[in-house]
Amino acid sequence: MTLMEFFGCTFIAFGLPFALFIFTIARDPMRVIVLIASAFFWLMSLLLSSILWYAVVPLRDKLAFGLVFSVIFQECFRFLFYKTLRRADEGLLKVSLQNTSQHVTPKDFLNQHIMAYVSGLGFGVIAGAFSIINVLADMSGPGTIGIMGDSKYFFWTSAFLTLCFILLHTVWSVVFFAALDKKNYSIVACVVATHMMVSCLTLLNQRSSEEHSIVYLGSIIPSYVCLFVMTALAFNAAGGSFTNLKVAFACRKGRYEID
Amino acid sequence: MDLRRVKNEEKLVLCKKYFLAGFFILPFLWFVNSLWFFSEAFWKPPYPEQKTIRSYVIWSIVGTLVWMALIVTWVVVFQVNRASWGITGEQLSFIIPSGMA
Amino acid sequence: MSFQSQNTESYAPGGSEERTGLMSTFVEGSVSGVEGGRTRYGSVQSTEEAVNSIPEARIVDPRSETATSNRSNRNNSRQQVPDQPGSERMSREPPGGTQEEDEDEETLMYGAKHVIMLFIPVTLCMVVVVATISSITYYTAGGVYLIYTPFHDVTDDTGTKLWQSMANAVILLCVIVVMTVVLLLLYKYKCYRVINGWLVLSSIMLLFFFSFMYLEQILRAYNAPMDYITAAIIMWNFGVGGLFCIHWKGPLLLQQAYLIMVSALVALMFIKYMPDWTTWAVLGVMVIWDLVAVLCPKGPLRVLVETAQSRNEPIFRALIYSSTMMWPVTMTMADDGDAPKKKQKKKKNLKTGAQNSSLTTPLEKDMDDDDGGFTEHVANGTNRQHSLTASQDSQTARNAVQAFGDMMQDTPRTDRNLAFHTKEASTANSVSALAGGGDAEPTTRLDIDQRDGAVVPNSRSQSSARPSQAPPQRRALDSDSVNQDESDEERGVKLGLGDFIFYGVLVGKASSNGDWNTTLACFVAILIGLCCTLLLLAIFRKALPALPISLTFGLVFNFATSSLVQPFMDSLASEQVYI
Repeated sequence: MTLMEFFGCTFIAFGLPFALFIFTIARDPMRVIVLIASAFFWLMSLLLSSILWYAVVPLRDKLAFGLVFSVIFQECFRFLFYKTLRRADEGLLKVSLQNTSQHVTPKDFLNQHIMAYVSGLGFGVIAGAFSIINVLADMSGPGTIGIMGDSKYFFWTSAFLTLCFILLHTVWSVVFFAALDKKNYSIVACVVATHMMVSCLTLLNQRSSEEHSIVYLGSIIPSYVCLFVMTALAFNAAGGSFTNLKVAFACRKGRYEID
Repeated sequence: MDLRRVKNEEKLVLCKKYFLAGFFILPFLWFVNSLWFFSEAFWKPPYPEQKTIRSYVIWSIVGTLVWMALIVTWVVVFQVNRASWGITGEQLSFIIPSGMA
Repeated sequence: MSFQSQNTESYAPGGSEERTGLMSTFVEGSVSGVEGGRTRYGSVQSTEEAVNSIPEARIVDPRSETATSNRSNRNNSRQQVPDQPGSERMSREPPGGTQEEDEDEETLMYGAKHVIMLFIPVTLCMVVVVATISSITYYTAGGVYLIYTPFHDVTDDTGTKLWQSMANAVILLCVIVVMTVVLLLLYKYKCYRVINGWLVLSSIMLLFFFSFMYLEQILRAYNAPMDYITAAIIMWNFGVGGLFCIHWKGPLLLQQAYLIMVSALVALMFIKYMPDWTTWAVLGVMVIWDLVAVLCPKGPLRVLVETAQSRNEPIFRALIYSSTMMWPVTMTMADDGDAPKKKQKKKKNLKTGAQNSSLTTPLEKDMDDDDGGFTEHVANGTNRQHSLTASQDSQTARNAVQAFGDMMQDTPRTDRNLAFHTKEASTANSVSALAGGGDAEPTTRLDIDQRDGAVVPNSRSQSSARPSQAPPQRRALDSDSVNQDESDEERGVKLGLGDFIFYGVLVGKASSNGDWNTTLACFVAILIGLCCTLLLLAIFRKALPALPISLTFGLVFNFATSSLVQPFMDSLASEQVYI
């Protein structure tokens, strides 16, 4: 039972990101590197926010404090990564022009959204992994939840929220990078605001208990609504439209590639 | 080792050595041999040494299969009869599982 | 314990057959760029630039002349091997801004592919270690320690822990230093037998003894019954297979798998047999030792690498993981007899090559079929070759060949990458074009062959006996000397097994606390460190220590995560708050 739960929750949380990784990133060394680099940036942001949380002793049990600053740090590092990526672009463009065979065709850099997407996925995957991996390790047994008055939907919610955050980070990055490219700072602010909002909404999860599992819906539903809206924004930012969408569903060769 | 950069005569020697080594209770080498030289033996356009390589590969495959069959049979027999063989079974056991018959 | 890029080998003037081989690849690279069609205009042009700018500099380079003058005496050219490749290289560099810019561009082209080709084995090694550590308690249970770590009191006193672990680490470091120096001395005085015996013995121990323990522990952990007969057969096959692959000839993939497995086993042994804090101290000490050993002018590993380079032979392959690039050129070796169609083309090209006695024409001819628009570029690019190879003076031709080879070794990565997905046809064409072009100066080639014949007599003279089938330089690679066999596997990036081991130790140790966040952080940090090291490798182009950056990142992130991040993430996860 515990093992089944473990696999179920793992696949809920990481199934979709894993598919994204396999189909769009794994074949391209450059993208893999960017993915790992962005994960590293996220790690540094987490490290900074942990240091702050740890240093401010009186507020240590107030998660809201750590959360707010963590969101701010993350967005700062997203911006830093954007800067780094744009600075590296020139060099990367050269590489891509030289190494035509490497699947790093210039499109990766001419189409800025690809790298935005890759770095967003890197952010998301590492964030998701960090928030759920220990829960998953506990989940695999021995023992189960619900004995100490916790909701029995604990793991289930964690998995779905993780998935939502991984995808949210991905689309946030796309929107964020595109907005910065166009110097459209209101959209940038919107990304930061939604990140803050969704994260703060998950504070509600603290109130869940054996009887009050319904509380989870209060965080899950807005998160997924937000994900939907941000995906639409990202799709738009990357140059998508309804006509594109219709074309995309027509079968043609190589449609799993993003280009 | 990249086979594509090896001369044909040498491929033959290599394949032969692997094949002969396999007789020293080394079915794994036969297995490697059969995988490694499979495309050489069957898919490459013909060259003089190919016929010999092919026979070595075929015999390697046969050897691997025979060994596999032997080992699987032995393991099944052992696992089924381990408890009933009593002291012999225990002496043969490398790992005696705890909590199982 | 160090990276080595194939590039560094370019300072060894010997082995001109390899250079010419490289040359063929280079030309092929440019061909493939053109084949790609209009969309890849950039690539064509840039390759063009490479062709245009670099040989110019190189050919007027006095070095090629010295190389020629040394041809009668191969030993001379060996002595010419620089002590410090970097500086030597700089001095060879003709002054000029454009040249430097080219260098800069080249460095960027090191290629993400290489990074990934190291990421995969490093990841696999770490996964094996982490999976073992987290599923088998045997490797984390202490109690038994190495004799090199005599201090392992169980105390809570930080001071005692500190000095004991430092003392252990220093003792271990001394052992490692002594071993390295012994190895170096043995290598320097060419006691290959002793070295090989040593390596074989240690791999026998690893492959049989340690893996036997590993098997036992796995079976115990999963409570699976097994009999001695099956176990003996498995161990015997595993061990002998490993010896075959590591020390003799085996499929590359299997060899790599064995090397990864062996390093994971050693890492597990380190984790098991070292006291808790000593492991961390050892990791810290290794960072410094690696820096010293590889970067100091007289550092043992550096001397080792340089000696190997000057002897133009691979370093012990039982100690080095190399990610081989498969060269398409190799698929088209004439005696492979791959595709009849290719052979046909080859013949045709040989003819044209012989008729025109130049490189340019067959190349251009092939170009014409694909896209005429680019013939101009190609012609420009190859004109230089043309003017050189068409010359009847074999001396000049050889100069050109050598200079070209040198040039190639400085820019192999791009071209290798370019050549990577080349259509086979074009590969065949370019190779055969070279062969055809080579027909123009048979004297040169024979010359080269004879010169090399001094080293590997039989095969060389054989190959030079039938020069019209294939470039004999290529054929030379077929010879049965291990040296030659391996020379192509030398390309690509290499990582010492020691690096694998210590990465494994770090990640395994991080995961032994049972906190997955720490493991993950270490993993990402090590990979990023590896990335940085490879970037530096691309910039500096000499053997670099792979441990310092990765291990520093790894150690920092390990301690930071386990003490700062983990409590934060734990409280977030238990409250299900997402950031």
